[in-house]
Amino acid sequence: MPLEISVTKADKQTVKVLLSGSLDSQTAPDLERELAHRVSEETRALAIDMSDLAFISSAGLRIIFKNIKTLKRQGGKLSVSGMSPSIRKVFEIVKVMPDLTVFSDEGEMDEYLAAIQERYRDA
Amino acid sequence: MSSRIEVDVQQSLDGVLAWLSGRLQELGVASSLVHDCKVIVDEYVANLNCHGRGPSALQVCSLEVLREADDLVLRFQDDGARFDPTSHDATIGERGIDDRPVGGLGILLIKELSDGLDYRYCEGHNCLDIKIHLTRGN
Repeated sequence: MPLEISVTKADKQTVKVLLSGSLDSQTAPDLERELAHRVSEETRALAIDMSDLAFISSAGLRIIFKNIKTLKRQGGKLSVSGMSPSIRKVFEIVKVMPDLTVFSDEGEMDEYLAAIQERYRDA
Repeated sequence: MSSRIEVDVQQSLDGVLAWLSGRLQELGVASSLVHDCKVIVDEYVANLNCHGRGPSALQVCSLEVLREADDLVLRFQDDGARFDPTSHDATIGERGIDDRPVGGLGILLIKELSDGLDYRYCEGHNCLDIKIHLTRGN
């Protein structure tokens, strides 16, 4: 199953991507390239909507790990929404949940991104 | 549907994972376990690609999917370099994400998503049975 990556929002501080399909050893390099292109030193929030993600393996988790570390170094956070129970279980096994901001739906995530933008606009 | 499939470890696993879904459905496995089984197969084949190379690159392994009473068994066999996944440390411990290596998660996922790994090396073949209690899906 292929992976579709849609960048639904990208500005100076915030990036939001929607993933559909399978994030596995075959498709993880595509996501790695896309995020390397989108996440800059000024990015403070990377939001990943997983509502349509059917599968994730350790190759996909490595990309998530890498970006959590990058964002943490520059004072930002990675957030996710729409995790299915199966995908959540995989994240829990590798004990990455404490390092993520998890939203139950896209609406909550959008509010969060708007708040981040607001904060930096006022700064 | 056959209980066994040949897997080209250097090619896309789409066909193998689709076959696996069908086979699990045929065996009456709960849908909540299907994702776990796909992760296990994906991780094991990815590990074979990294560690299972002998004098020449490993091309094919076999995967058999069996139901034994209340257990599901994923049986892998290949003739690559000896590779015992049960001997690999698969713990994260209490280390925070900053202190953790980015790799090494595959064997951890296999161990955590299953209920037992039985590895044998016989006559030049790696044989691995990964057992999953079907009650996990309840």
